[in-house]
Amino acid sequence: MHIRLTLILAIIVLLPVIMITWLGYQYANEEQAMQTIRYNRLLQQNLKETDRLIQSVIYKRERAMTQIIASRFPTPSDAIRTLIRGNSDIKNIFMLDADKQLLHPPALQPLSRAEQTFLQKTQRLRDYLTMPAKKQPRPKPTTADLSAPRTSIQSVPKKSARLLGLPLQRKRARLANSPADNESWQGQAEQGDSHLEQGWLTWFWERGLNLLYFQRDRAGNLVGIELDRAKLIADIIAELPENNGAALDYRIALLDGKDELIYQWGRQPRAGAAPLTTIMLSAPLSAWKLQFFTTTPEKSNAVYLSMAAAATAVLLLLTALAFYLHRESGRDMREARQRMNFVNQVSHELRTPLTNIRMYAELLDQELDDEQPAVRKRLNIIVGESQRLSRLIGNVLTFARQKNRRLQLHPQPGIIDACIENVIKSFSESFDKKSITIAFDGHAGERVLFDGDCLEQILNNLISNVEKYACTGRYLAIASSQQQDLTTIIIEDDGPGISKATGERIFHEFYRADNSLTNKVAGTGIGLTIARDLARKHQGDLILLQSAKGAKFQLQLHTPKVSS
Amino acid sequence: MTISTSRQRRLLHAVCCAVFVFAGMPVSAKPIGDPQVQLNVGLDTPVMLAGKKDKAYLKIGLTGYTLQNRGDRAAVNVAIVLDQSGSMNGQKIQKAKEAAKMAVNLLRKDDIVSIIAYSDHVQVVVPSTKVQDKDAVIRAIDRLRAVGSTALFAGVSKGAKELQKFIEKERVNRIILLSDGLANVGPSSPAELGDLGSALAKMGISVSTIGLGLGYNEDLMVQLAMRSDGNHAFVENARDLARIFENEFNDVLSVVAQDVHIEIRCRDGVKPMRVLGRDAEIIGDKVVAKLNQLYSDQEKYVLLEVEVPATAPKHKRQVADIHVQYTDMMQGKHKQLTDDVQVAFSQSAATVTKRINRGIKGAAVEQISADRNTQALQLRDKGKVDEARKLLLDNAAYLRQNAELVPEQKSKFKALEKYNKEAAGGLDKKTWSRTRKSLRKKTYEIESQQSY
Repeated sequence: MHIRLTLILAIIVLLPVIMITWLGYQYANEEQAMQTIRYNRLLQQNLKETDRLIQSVIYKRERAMTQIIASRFPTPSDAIRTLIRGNSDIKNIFMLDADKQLLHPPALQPLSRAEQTFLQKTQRLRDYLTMPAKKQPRPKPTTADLSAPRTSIQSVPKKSARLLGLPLQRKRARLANSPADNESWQGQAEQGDSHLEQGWLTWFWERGLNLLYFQRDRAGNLVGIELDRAKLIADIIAELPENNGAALDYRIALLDGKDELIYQWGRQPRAGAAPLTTIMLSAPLSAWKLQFFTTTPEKSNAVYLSMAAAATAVLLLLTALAFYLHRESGRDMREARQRMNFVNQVSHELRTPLTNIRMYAELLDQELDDEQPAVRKRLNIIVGESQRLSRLIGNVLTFARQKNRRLQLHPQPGIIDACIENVIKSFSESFDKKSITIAFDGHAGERVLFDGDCLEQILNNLISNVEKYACTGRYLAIASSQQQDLTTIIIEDDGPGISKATGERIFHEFYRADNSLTNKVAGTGIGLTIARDLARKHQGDLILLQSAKGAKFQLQLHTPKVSS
Repeated sequence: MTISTSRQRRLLHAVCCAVFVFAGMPVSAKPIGDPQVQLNVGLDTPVMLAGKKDKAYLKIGLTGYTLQNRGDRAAVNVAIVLDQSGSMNGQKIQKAKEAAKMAVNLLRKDDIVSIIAYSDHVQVVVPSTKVQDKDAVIRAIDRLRAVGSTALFAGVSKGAKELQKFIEKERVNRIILLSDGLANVGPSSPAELGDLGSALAKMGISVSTIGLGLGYNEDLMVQLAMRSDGNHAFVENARDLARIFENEFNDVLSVVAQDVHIEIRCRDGVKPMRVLGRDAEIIGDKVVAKLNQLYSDQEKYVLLEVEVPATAPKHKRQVADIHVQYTDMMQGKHKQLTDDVQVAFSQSAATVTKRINRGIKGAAVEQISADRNTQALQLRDKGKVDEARKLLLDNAAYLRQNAELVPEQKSKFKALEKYNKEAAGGLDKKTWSRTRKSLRKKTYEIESQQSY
């Protein structure tokens, strides 16, 4: 009983805690995921800001190049050379006329070594830019000729201006809508549009990414300006933040197409830490990337901690509750047991003097002769009452023993009917007084194994019930029968009877059917409980049968025959 | 945009050219008393052997004039870029800070200074500011600590950005870069740093590089200095930093001319072959070179090797027309200098020898010896130790021979001879790192006519 209670309490405590922990964990996970997404979005914003800074450098270059081109054409080669010598943004310039003839560096004149190398480098690029307006495949880098530059050319549609959200000139806006293919340029020129064609080419050569700004005019002249790569990188670095005083708790790194570091700022992250987020730069530097590192621990365990705290709190609360209940029930049980023990002890103590009373009463009975019937009658009453007392005490002790599972039966060979008759005899005196007739129809005369004390106690209880509650019927009928190993005894009276509703409850401990009669009469409410328990202990049963008049009980016992 | 030929534009262009030319005319018609940059041109062999195609060296030398008063000097816009990587920890960063502080103390109130420190990131310790409050600048320098790796390119980039805040043609614009280690963050190859140097030179910014200790990349540092026409120093011991900074600042505070463009047009069949020791553009018969600045009392020169066709004796050839443009810092004006060179021919070898211009010959010998130093370095890099040593010893012999031929430069050549012998002895693995740095420095010193 105790163990079951503990088990139940344990389940009551653990089940909700497990549920809460599991749900809490799920919630915390979701929260974490949300936070990570939100954080990543913030980081991406941050990186996009940086991208805009870099774009502003490109945009300034673009404006500068456009202005240069606008103010200097047509130009003799010497002037172009002087321009290049004085402009740190520009490495080299080529100019082609509409017939693809090289205006600068001048085709048929001596060139400096740098100019010769430049022409070599840009051969394929120039071919690409001057391709006729049919669908041409993109030039693939040649691997056959090792001395030729390993160029891969990407034409970049001019979205850069749009990205910056800056007001577009009408001409540029039109180009932003046109695709990067050669075919559309020519087509639009033929339509007689007054817009220009211009843009960036990204171009991989030697150290990495190079930018070429090209512009073509109405007449079909093409200018290409190679930007000084070192200067471009230096200007981009100059534009990006540096570490000044205010300590940042993150680091941003700019890497080139080969994943090599160009520049970084912020606090140094742990060695080997991976970037939290990465974005590629906008065109034309889309081969480059920005990475974000943080120095604070990535996952904030706040949500998990709070969930764990909640679960722990619930656990503690429920455990406290469980302990309290356990203690209380334990106490109750202990008290009940103490009371039972007390009653037990008392009953035992009562038994001894009672036995003496009976013994001496019976001795006295034997010594008395028949001359004093009044004395004998009084003596009979003493004996009867002390027997009744005995029965009561017996009931209590049985009850206690049954509770403690210490009840044991001792089957002995005997005759059922004889036992019944004995019991009837012990009640005859008091039944006579109450004018109750006892009719016994016994057909259980076989010699069988049964516990006589047990049968006696059962019958005592049943019959004393009749005495207490069914005396108005003035009639008690007992019939016994035997079949194989089963003895059946029917006990019925003519009293008020027991309704079907209370039929089962009368067998419950301490239950007394609630009517005016029970209120007047003293009783413990354990009689039928004991009777049934004993019957069941005897591998039989005691049940209430339906009856038109009074109460009708059926007692069955398992009584194996004795082979004598 | 229109690439159409606007007649108006061409006319304007012509007018501008004319004005420019006429403005430059009164080169010789200035008041006496104003000091001038001196242009000295000549051939090492003003008389050559007739009937034979031969090569000669054409020297174009420019000497800055003496500054009358120290206080007359041009205002300065300088960015000091210091390495604060982990390897600088200890005495090095200590001495670097002292040297920087000493340099700041040399400046005047109208000078502009900025201090940049770089490790794996860059910190602008003092943004470009007029040197009003020297103490504040010095305190900022004091706070520097050494930790991290080496983002040299970024350091120079930020230095250039600071300079550009106050960049003016009337100022001397300079970056002074100190490094003790290998650049390992950002573009880090000598070529990339060289490209940056040349871009900065176009803006009129020179980068002087100071390599500290034995751990820096001398190729990188020399490329950066060379392409931007700055100085380079190899400082083995941090104790010498203050002295080197002082030397550098002496140069910076003695600039008398900037933005020097030299154009040499070879004539009469004479072909330009190569320029020794400097970067120059050779386009057909035209040679274009640029010097960022001229220092007072210092001569810088361009040495051009030319090929002279076979000529009959008693004949003369025009060798070249030289045209120099520059900005005079004291007078704040654009100026020009022009000259031309002829060569005569003789059948007598003795005459040729007698007429050798020893000064120019000395310059040619110097440059050739520097070129041989570079070749020896490349041989040693490839592991050819014996060949490198032989070349250096041959170089020493060459210098000794010419010490006799050119007595005016005897002491200089003797010193160089000694140097080459020492270098020949420093080619083993243990000493090579030091020798290499020293060779690079020495070679550059000769090629750029560095004063320290």
